[in-house]
Amino acid sequence: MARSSTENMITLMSSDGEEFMVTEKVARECTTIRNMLEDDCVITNIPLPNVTSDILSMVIEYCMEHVAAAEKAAAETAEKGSSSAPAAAKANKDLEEWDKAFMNVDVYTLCDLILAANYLNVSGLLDLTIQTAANLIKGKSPEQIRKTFHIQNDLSLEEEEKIRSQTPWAFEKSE
Amino acid sequence: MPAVDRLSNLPDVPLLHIMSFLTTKDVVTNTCTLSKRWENFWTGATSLIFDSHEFNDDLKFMNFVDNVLAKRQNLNLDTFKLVWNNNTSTFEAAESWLAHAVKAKPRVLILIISGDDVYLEFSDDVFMCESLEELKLSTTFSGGFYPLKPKSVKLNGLKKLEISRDINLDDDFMKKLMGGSPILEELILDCEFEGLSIISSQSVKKLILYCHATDKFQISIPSLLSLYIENAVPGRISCKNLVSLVEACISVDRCLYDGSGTLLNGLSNAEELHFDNISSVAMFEKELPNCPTFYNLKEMNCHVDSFYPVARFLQYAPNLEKLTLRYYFELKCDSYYRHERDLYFSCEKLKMVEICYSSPDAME
Repeated sequence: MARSSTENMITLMSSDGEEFMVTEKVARECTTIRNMLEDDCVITNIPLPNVTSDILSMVIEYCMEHVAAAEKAAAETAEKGSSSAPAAAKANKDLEEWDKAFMNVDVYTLCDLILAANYLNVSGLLDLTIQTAANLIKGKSPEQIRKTFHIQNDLSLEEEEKIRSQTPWAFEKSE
Repeated sequence: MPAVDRLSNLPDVPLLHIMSFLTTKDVVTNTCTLSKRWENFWTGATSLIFDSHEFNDDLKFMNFVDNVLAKRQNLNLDTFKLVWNNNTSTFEAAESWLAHAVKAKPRVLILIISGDDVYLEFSDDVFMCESLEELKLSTTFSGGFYPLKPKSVKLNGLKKLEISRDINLDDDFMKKLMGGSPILEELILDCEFEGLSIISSQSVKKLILYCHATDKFQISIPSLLSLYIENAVPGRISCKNLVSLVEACISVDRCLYDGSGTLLNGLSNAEELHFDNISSVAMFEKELPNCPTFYNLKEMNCHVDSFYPVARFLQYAPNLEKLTLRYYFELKCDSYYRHERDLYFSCEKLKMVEICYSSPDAME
């Protein structure tokens, strides 16, 4: 394991050339970056050609919030000698509320966040965004899903009819 | 902003991940006509979730599952979940679906099955599925309890096992299970324990038990960190070798003693104890005289109607730091006062005592 130093700063560069200075601890929330740091511990400047500045700033915001929450919990545990269950439950709930508010974004941003979380391998953010997207699809008709995500239907009526006739078992009315 | 379809442009892996949160019916029926990108996308699904409640009859449900399994790509599965409230006379279809699922090396297998007059015998394959990390079996049959009788168990990757409802676990199964699942960490049992005399493991860290039967049995798990027992019947359950125990949460149903009890005795290594209803008091009375000192105990949370049994307990907890008392009824003073006056205890490290009251009205 690499020596952990909270003071080390790392510069992340977005696809559109913007630079973001973050602590190594925040950067390490991204497994992709953590692996780079572990392979080459003197690296301080990391270009991220797949992530735009607006999305990268959101990813960093998410990582900073989660690092801060984890540090706060660790400090409380150290102070009191043991963790207090109600306090920990409240901290978890606060973080969940924060996550929920953080997910108040349009579907474009949501999909871009999924891409970025997938590329940078931020498992908490990936789970959060994937679950949010799934909730937008759950129980919805094809028309509703197309509308929500601006999906262009490139199937002709005949092609759509053909799919339906080839998979009748998928379209049997359940009412 | 131009209408750009970012969802369809996602790579397959995150898109399949999104689909894994939906039932297979939702995925197939509502996505295959979205656009060309989506027409066959579902065939690559790595999670299959079938729920008969989404169909208005068993034949349509069976037809759906048969077709999905026949047409899906031959990929390994992450999750196979089957929820079937079966009103037909046979589980033959489920047997073939399970065989298909097991061949696809799932990481998670969840089977929630119910039926009248028919029951599904889980095939030996299920208990030999080495890819499994998580297994949940829940069955409700009108014909009573059903034993698990695999020839042998080989679940080398299994970490979490949950068994509930009308399944009976006996010593024979438990022995095979513990012998065949060397890294099992979490065990959740909400079933019958007829013919079970011991739950013994070298790997389980977390045990959650919902007790229904009152046959005597013993829990002997040196690796156990966390124990939760609901409806515990002290006098019937005893704990032994819980040398790693950190926390335990016990709610007592009733005490049935025909000798001395060893439930409390077995918890004496814990750092944190929760007694979730006032019947625990009866256990204190009976078991404390045989208990060693709870040297590790730092935190105790107790539902009580009188301080007397707690004071008795405190005599055994010299290092307690935090005590929480929950009174559901008005404090009984008169009958216990005489005892309390004679009772001495010393908890020098006690930092916090929290007392919560709730009126009898609030309990309803």
